[in-house]
Amino acid sequence: MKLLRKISGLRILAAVLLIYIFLTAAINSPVLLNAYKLTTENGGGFSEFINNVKTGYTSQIKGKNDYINLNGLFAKYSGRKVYNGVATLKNGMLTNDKLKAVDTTLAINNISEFDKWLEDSGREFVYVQEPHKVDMKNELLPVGVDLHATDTANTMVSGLEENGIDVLDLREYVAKTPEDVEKYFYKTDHHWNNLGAFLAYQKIVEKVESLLPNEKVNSKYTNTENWKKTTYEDWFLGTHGKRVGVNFGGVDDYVLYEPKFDTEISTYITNHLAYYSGDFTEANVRKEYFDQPNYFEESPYCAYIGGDYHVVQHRNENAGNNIKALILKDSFQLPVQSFLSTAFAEVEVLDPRYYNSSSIAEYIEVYDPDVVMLMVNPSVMYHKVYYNYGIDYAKKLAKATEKSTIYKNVDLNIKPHESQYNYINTANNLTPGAKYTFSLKDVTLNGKSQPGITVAVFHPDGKRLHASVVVDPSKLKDGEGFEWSFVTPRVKGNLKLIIYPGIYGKAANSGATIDDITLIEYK
Amino acid sequence: MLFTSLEFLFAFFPVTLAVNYILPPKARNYWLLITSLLFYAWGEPKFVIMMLISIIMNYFFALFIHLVKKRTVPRRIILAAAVVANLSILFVYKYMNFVTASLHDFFPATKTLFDVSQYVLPIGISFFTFQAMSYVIDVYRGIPVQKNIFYLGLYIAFFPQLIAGPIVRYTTIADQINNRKTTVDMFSRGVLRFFYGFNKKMLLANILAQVADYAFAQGELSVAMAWLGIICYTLQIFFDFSGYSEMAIGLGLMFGFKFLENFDYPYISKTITEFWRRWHMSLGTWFRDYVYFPLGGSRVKSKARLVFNLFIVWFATGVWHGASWNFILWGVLYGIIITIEKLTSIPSLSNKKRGFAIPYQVFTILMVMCGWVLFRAIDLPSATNYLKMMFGAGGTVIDNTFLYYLQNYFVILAVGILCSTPLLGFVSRKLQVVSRPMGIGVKTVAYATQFLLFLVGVSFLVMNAHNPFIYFNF
Repeated sequence: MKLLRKISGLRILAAVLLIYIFLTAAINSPVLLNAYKLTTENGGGFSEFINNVKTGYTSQIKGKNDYINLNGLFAKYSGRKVYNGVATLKNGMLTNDKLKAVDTTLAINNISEFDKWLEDSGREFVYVQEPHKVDMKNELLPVGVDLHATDTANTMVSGLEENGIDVLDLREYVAKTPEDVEKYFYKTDHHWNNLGAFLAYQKIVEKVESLLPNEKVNSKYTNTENWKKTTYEDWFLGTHGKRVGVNFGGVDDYVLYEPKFDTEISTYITNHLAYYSGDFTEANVRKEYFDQPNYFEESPYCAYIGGDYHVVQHRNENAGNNIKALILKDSFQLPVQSFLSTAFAEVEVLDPRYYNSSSIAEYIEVYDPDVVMLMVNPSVMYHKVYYNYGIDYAKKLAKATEKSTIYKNVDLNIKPHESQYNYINTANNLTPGAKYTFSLKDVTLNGKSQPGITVAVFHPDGKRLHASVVVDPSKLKDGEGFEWSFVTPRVKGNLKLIIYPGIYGKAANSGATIDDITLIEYK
Repeated sequence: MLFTSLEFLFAFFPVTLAVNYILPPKARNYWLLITSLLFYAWGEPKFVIMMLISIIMNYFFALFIHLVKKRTVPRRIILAAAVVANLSILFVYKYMNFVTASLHDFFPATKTLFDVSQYVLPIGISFFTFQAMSYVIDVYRGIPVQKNIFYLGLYIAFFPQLIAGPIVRYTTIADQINNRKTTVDMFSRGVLRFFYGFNKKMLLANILAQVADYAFAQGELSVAMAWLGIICYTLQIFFDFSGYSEMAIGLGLMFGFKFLENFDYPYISKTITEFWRRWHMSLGTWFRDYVYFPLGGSRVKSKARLVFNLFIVWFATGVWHGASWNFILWGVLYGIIITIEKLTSIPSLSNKKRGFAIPYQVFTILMVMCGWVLFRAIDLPSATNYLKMMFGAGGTVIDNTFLYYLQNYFVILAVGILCSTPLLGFVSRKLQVVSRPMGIGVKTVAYATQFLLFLVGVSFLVMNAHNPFIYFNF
């Protein structure tokens, strides 16, 4: 009792502080050691050590996510509606606190010119206006927050429609009213949820069917009843949520959509050289996001496809049509392109923010899609890459009709080798900015199992690939062979055409016999 | 280094504290001196040399004064040399850029003679220079000299009050340097004071700064937004500076030193004179003891001399705060009001007549806030523009921007206003009395709250919030 009487609240406070300070110091002591190591490795002095300590503590402190959550809790109960770049809509959902106002004049002009060029070359074009996370009358916005998103989208839509361009304004379906926003968007992320993405998919298919009356999409693919929905509760802390923690705006459930009907799809991510083939889930869903929730380090939004990449190529031989669609995208397309891969024979998805191997128009010229769709959110319209197409380069390519044979009907035998980068160089010094067609009759794989061979244009710096394709022998129809057209990048140096007897970087101990390869250049 | 930084909380402080209490008492002063120099070097590695020069210089000045016979001319000369030397260092690093730029502005012919200088301001130079000068002057006045240069170095460079005060008098801690004993209760009180200061800085000052920073960055504001901005700045500067002082006092207690208070709820002052007895008290008493009193103070024969003395003090106060016309004007304006108060019966009326006291108290806080406009604005035209906007020059009375900031910062603003008055302490004491029979520990709840708020403050550091102290620049 005597001892208890001596222990005043103040002394307990002091003890608690000391325990907290010393424990935290001990747990985070590696920060100092790492800063010292880094400084001595770089031959830096005291000033550099100080900087390394400061950055070390802010980036490596243990329990950082718990502190973020605590901070968000404080912000919430101190009445903040706008905090750390995140605004709370009137319905409690999180969005940006500000967006740049965008002058859409150049975009409208360039897109109109693009549409004309596509029309002249016999291709359909649709501008798809994605919604920002706000209703069309801005009723959800808190006082003093102006995102400009609605204005930007309105001027784009009206400007393009005035120029006779086909426009699909998805805001009318997924963000017309506050109730729509609540239903079709994540609480804590800036994207639509998979219900919203599925509705967008349905509308896009309707639109494409209206533009290509000779092609039809089996209605079972777009019927929501034919899709299995698996709910992962409290699984997802979105982009906005990651800035303010789980206590400020909550967390989201994630609902995974998978078709109940049979599918046979291949998905190739060209710059990551990742090839997936099988049913819808094997081709498009990254199941690792569903082991356990990881609020701050992962985003299950990327469960479809895995993230934003330069080019993603989907092939579906069982689609029941011959629709070739090219989508110029932002991140809103990840679930949508996956759903579209069940409906169209071919879907290629190009992200203008990352793709730089050629101009967009050149890509279209060699890929030759039936329909091109530009799908953007108002928040990315300030990126000029979305309306710079390089049409002149494509026109030049279109005029190059004279064929020049680089090699013809050559048989190749690539023997298995222990290197992951086992390859054969089939052509050197490809002409920059030129169109080529590569073809083969048949492929037989041997050695370690591979889904196919990779044919790729190799950059002169020897470090990366440009255009590439995976040829899956199981997809080759008897007697038809395989043909692939590509455009080379406009860079100096020795551009090579390389064949790997497997997936690039994973071709160890794999071999292949390839019959009748031909390479033609168009001049 | 800042107290409100992760490297201070989780590296410098625990190591300094632990080693301090492991070492025998005689070694502790040397350890604290070394760590204080490291603390200063963390922010300004090259200026540690200047700090050491200041310590050595003032040590010898004081020693010589001590050795020379009292009431002799040489003694006065050494004192004068000490003051000139200290003020020269301060002048070069703090005022040379301003003086050369002003000469260029007022006398363009000087542009051909010299360039505007580009000296970098060492952090805290005004504080430790004044502190060191006060020691030398006090030795001249008869206090025992400190013969151990390391102990004097500790007094000048001790990290809790090194870079933003309070300005500690040598007599306050002379005995504590040689004979201090930290009790558990003293240490615990230090912890609580540190929490108060840390939480004021992180959870009030830094947050209110967001409103003030926005307001002062705009060329045009509605009336309501202009007032909201200056109210937030008024609270920001108080919590920033008093928060730092409380952390300094708290850290001092944890190491066995008792510093004097630096703030006493200045915003409840009834007069401007009273405001300056409650705001930055260590600076006010410094100027009183080392400038005002030597000039004769208020015990002078003529009112003209009194006015002159007050002008010198307040001009110097303005200059001390910064090298710009804003600060000089700020100081002079306070001097004018205080002079009027001294020459009239305003202080007496404020104490006796309620009908006068309340309006004058409102006037006092409004004048303080207008003064802060001068303090915060980057130059005189900006300050003038801001003041005009406060009184309607922007054209709009209330706009969405004001509603936006009010909605987002209302809670912190309300808590800030409450915490700037003694009301919270009063309510807490009443609650203690009421709750004691029920066995509910109001104090325990309060302490637990302070610790939780401290963790919230740490969370801001983890999220890398920008949080420098305003008074660092002095």
